[in-house]
Amino acid sequence: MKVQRYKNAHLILLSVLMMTWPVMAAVHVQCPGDIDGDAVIDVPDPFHPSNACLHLGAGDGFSIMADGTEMYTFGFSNLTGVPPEMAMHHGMMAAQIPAPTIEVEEGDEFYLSLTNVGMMMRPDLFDPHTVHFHGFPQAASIFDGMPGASIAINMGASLTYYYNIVEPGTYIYHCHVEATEHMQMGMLGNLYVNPAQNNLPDGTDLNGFIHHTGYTYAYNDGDGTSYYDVGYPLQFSGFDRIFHEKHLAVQPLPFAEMADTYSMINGRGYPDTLLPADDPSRPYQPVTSLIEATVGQKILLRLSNLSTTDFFTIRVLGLPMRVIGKDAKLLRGPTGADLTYNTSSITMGGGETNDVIIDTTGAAAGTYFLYTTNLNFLSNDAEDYGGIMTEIRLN
Amino acid sequence: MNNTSYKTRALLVFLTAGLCLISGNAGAEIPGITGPTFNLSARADCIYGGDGLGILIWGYADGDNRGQYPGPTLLVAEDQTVVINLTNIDIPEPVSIVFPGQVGVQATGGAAGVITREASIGETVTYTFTASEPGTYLYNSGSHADLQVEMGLFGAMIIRPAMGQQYAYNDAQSYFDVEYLFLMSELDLRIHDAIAFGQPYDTSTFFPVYWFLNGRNAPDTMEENFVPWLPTQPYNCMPMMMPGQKLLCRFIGAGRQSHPFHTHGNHFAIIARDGRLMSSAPGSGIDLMEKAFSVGTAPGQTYDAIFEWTGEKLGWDMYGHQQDRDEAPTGNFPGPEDIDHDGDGVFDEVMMEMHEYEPDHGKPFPVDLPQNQDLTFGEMYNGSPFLGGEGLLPPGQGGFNPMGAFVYMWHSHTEKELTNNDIFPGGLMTHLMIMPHMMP
Amino acid sequence: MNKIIKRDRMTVVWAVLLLTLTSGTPVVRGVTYDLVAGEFDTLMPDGVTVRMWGFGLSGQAVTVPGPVLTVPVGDHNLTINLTNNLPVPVSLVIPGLPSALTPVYHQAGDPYAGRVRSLTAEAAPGGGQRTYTWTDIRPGTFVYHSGTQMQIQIQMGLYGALKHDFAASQAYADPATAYQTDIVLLYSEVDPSVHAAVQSGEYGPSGTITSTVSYWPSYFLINGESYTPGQAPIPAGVVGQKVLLRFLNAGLRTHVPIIHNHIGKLISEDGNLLPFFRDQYEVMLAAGKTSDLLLTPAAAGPITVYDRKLDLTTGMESSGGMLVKLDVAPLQTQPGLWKKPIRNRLGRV
Repeated sequence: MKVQRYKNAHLILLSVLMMTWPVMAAVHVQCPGDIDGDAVIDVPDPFHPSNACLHLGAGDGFSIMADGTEMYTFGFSNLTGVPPEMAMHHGMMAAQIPAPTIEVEEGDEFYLSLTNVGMMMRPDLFDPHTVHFHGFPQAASIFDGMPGASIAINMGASLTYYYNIVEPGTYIYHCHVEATEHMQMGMLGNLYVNPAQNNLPDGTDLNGFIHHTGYTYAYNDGDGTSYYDVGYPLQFSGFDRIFHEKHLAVQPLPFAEMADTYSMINGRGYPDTLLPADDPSRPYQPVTSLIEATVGQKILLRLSNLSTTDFFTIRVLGLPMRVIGKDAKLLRGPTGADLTYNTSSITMGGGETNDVIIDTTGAAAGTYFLYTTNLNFLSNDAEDYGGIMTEIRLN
Repeated sequence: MNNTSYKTRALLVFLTAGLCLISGNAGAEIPGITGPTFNLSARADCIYGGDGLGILIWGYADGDNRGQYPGPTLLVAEDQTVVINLTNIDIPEPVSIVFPGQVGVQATGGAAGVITREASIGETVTYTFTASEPGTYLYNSGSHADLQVEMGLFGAMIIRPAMGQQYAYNDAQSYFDVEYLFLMSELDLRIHDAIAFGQPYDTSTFFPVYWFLNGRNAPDTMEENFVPWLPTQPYNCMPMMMPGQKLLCRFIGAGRQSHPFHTHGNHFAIIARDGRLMSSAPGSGIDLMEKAFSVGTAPGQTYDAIFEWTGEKLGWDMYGHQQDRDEAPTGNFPGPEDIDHDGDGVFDEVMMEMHEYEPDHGKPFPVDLPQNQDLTFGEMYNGSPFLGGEGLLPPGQGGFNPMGAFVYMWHSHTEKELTNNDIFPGGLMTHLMIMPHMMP
Repeated sequence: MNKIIKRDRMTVVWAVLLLTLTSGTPVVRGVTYDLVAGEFDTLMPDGVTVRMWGFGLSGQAVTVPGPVLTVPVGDHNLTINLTNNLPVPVSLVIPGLPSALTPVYHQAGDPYAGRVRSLTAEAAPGGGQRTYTWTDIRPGTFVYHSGTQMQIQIQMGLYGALKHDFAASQAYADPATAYQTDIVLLYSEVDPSVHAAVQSGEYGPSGTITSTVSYWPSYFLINGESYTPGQAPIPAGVVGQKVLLRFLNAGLRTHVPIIHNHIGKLISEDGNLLPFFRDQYEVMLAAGKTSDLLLTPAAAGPITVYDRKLDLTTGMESSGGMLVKLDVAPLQTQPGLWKKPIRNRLGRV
């Protein structure tokens, strides 16, 4: 495996880095109910009955583009369940594209610990990292992750963010340190909050829509508008090959010339979008974008754009799209006006999210397509037939 | 990669901003020139990019004043008959103005152009219309617009409603306490250089390297209005508010690119698009209002949005009232004896702040913050997670936020646009400062 | 026409018949169009000749955009018989109209093996034929275009407009969408370097251009034409009467048409009636999108519609690109125009 060779570099660079760490620095996970510091709740804390914990590492790594090109990246890795003394080891050179998907529940107290594992391939850099919970309502700047207004975590240490999760919806997260660079390099991820409506008692009447145990919704809609059978987060982003190459080569970074050449869904270009989750050929790009459902089901697409350079217009061909949410809000006016709408394409700039429901009732079984109508992005850099495209397979 | 000069500038900005707020209601009103008759000129001048580079522009000017980037913000009252006389001083091709959103604009003088009547050097053209619909509008050149808008011939117009100065529209829900303009534009340096040196150019290869809010790149966006060292870029973009206030954002896409403008801190409510209320029918109020944390402002569009913030439901007391307790907190995750909603006499002595979310009152800060040596401090961090708070920081770190404001970056989320001609940070970016309420 | 293709066509006919019989519904009625895909050279206003691929009705010239196809009021079915005279396979899709797809994938041995080439069944190159059918067509404005190697074939010109009204002179079920005149405004772009590479066979894995990643258009067209000063305006009915502007974008980039001096009502998106109409002077016309805007001109005379993205150039020349003039007639001079269809600049209803 190509990526493997860089693992050897870890041990050498690790020893170099260890010398630069401040004496007090240490991996330090904060999670009520977790006894051994691995962000897994061991004994539920009665004063935090519904807390959720996650331990993320922030560092660098390599991803493989759909044309086979290896791309240097910055990214997050999931260190939850890893003993603290092993966290640095597991986190180094483990950057995932996209970042580990965060799924939490309305009502959770969410403790997110971030450990900066350093950039192995750039020992000259001492960049701190943050998590910006993009769209978090009524945020406090200390947990906003915007480095200029608060704090960012240095290498070898951990910072715990606290979010009182009160609003369901489709959000995103990313590192906000030197945002143009760190986001172009890949520190982007899916994040969504499930609504409390999922947990209503069986048989609850939602204005004529009868809820049953196991039903899932995108929002607390009160009428089943956002009901879905299967849900998929699809995050659109891009890499500028030259920017990444220059980064690895320790060259001045081309900000003005930045133009993405690899357009991707969930960190993969077509046809890699169709590979299953955790496909061994893409060890650091584990998220699939292949959408599978049975005729008659409702598919929820949690769409987000985190490109640092482009708007994307996204189309589903052959099946109807109904936009039910934008920016983690149900499309409903203040006096109840139903602002959801049907379409066959949706345009999103960076930092925008949209929830789309595809009702497959009456559709023929078979293969349908989701792709960008900015057709020049149906490419993987110099390779044709790639980019932002995936399939919806109805059984 | 840090930019030291950025930090130094930010120091000045935030000190000034903080001081101004003490002395008055700074920035609460959008600066501009008042109508209904405007004598504008179009002339060549020079602006400064955020990196200090001088750039040739063509700008609209108020009478004999210098050209501006953007042009003067035109302030008009509803139902006024607006007369705009435009004289071309030295632009070497005919210039004009179009007013998207205005119906039935009459143009006289000059010569007929492709879209409207236009003025060659020395000529004056007059545009007349009735400001029948209050709202936020864009004006820009309708002549050779692919070049002239690039060169800077655009500006904002605000039609104030009959309902009053504190309303965006004739609707009670459009009330605001403070208002700010967010006029977005871009600049392709190659075209300006070509014009300056009489070289050929091709606007279809448009590839900007500067991105602006109200004609300034960050960090200049956060300087005061009318600072003398930016004589042709008079307008800042430095939103400030207090918890519970309503901040009206007037978004305008004045350039050729769409910009996904993102507000940290909270959602905003979009109340109007293209100068028309988000309303299903007259008398229905703003019933089509949408909440969002980003607005994809396309060229020529305007949006009005109201932003509010109270910090409610954070799950901890953001005013740090727990700090006033007699005994020290017993740890990061305190036991029940430390959480006191019932009022055992300790918290009751701590006054609620204006607009404070009562259930969070007294709740302890939920986590231990790392040791100082493990942290990189933002220049606008003042050592405390609490609003109005203050904490010890290592020498030379942070502290450029003397009021203890909560600071949020407001910016284009096409992150490439946070640069000034290849230098990060900069570009289409500013910060919102949420200031603590002042105790009398 | 060879036998294999004939058999293809017959298979489709039989399939349709079989489907009709087994489902027990009456025989599918509907309008049928015979479309031809072919190539031609077009002269841009700046004197540059560009190879285009286009559609045309059988027996007529191939054009860019292709002919405006109308599904008549009361009819809900559409059949298109496509004859492909291009040297590459071509197919037809209509985004927004639900339909089953029969995708075609690159075969083993092809550099793109396993990737989808056509989103639905192809008409073979060099005269191959294929029949496409749509049923239950809802009212609206749609783009039809090739579903084969879309990143190339759409920018080469394989697109056109399709419209279907709810009732005579009424676009959608909502009576507020009635109009007297409708005008199709189809936006698209041309990157001449890609067209030249396709023409010379230099586009492809071993060619000078291997993907569309460096797309950079320099011609900006409305209904296939870049504006030239003095261009004849499109008749837009009579003052005070409703004009339905059907905006379609077959380009790869967003454009933002602005109606100079006017405010319209945006009533639809991608052939879907909006739940609430919006008063707007602009239309955010993203790539591939359609939007209908109702306009009621208060005064006779010209109305300029220009792209606020400011793609107002023809090659390197100014005063061109995506700008079009509409002409509103005064009431007294054209009393007989009420409900009489008006031909647009392309001479189509």
